[in-house]
Amino acid sequence: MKMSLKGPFSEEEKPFILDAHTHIGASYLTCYFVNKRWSVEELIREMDRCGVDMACVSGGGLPHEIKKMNRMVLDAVKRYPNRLIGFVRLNPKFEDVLDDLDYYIRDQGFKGIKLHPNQDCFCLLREPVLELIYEKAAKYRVPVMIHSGTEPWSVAGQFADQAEMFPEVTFIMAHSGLRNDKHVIESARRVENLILETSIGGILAPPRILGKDRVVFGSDWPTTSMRSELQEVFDHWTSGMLTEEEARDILGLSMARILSLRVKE
Amino acid sequence: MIKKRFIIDAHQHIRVGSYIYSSKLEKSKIDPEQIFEREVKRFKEWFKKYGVAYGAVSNISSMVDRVWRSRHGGNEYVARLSERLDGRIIGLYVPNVFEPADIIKEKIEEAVKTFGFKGIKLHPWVSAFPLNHPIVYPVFDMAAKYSLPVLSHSARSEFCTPLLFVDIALRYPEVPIIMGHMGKQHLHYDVLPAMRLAENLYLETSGSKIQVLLERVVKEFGAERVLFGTDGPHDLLPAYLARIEDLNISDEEKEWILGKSAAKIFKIQ
Repeated sequence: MKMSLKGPFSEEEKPFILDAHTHIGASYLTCYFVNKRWSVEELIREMDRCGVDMACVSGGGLPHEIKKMNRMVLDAVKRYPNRLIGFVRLNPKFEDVLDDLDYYIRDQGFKGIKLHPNQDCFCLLREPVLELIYEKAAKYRVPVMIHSGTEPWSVAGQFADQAEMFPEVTFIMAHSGLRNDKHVIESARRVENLILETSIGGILAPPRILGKDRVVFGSDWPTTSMRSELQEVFDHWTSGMLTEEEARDILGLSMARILSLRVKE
Repeated sequence: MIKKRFIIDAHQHIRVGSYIYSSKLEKSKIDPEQIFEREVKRFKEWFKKYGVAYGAVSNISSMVDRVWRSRHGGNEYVARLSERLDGRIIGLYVPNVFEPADIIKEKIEEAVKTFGFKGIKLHPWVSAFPLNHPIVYPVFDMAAKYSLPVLSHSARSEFCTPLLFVDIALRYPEVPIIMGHMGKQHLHYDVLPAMRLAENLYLETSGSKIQVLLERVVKEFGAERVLFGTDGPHDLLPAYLARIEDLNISDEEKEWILGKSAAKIFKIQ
């Protein structure tokens, strides 16, 4: 796999890289700027260019496209089972949301759930259906990734509160507060089952502050440059802000453990 | 591979004195001179390591302190940094907008004539004033008089929405006004209409990560109206450069963003 990035390692020691947050279709932050929809081939090409081994993928775009997006992701995962890990995008306002959850997680082997409170108009701690979704997430042992950093829908304190209420669920805070929420680290320290994902928000604290497997790399591609988001982790590693073990965990090993994937360490 | 480019970092800070997110009381007890020397070392090493040509620098404490502790509230450290960095520093003066108008004007004149400042930095969110409020007019009067570009923080705050940028830009059409962070990921939908409404608005890239937005900006307004910045200096420079290199725009447009736009605005040969 050819890489266009520079990190403090030789080709033989290349870290395992798992991008915890990508989309096909579009993303919440692209869909009102351009009408483009990104294909699975474009995602795979970008992963190859950046040296990304695997990626968690969910559908993205306009809210009414959700069901179509999930079907696209299912098709993508079937075509690239060794590269892509399916996350099902769920809208708690849909009457059949739990049926969709069962179908994609139990029947089709998706490994996670993606929620977008801002885009789908529901508020963490104020949406009863979420409790049913989290109960199923606990039952199926899959993480729940949720967009963060947007008041009043999904801010750090809400994440910590619901993580306390559902200790068996692993919550992933996509964007680590989106560079806006200044309460992320303190909230994350309150609980153990809250993971910070780095896209846009960056690495707010190294794992030695929060605990092993508490920070995972994500790009939110195609919103951002996948290469640039990945380079940020390499830059922190090169500068000494991260130890080698921390950097390798963030780049992929932590997310692999969260998803119970077997990868070469 | 990342090409070797002419780079100006249009948004940098020195941190001597008060800071926004202070977390340790001990730090405020350290001699400011000691902190200043650390900052000089940090800037020198950074420029040497990354080969960046120039950095436009302001001091954070001048924005944080409502009542200044010295005549120029910490801007002095930027002037002194400039002396120590072999001409690499473009000094941005942070005025105290809460002082009387005649004092603001007097100090900006001194900053330009005595200390060689080349631009103005405003932080309406940190300092808590609306960017277009009449208390800021004396600053823009002086910016117009001395042809000083004004860089201001933007993004989620009622004090510095893109609409306020448009309002002040239309009042002072001769002043280049640079929207720091281009609304980040909160006021990003305001960026395109704001740029359409005021031709003297420019964008600075740090903190914004939406690739398709920047591509649309370049297509509609030209790369000449975009300035590269880090809000540093810091070690994420390679990542920030990769973001520009990955844009679906021409090589020449990337050169404008990375250095030529700032060189033109700050009149650097």
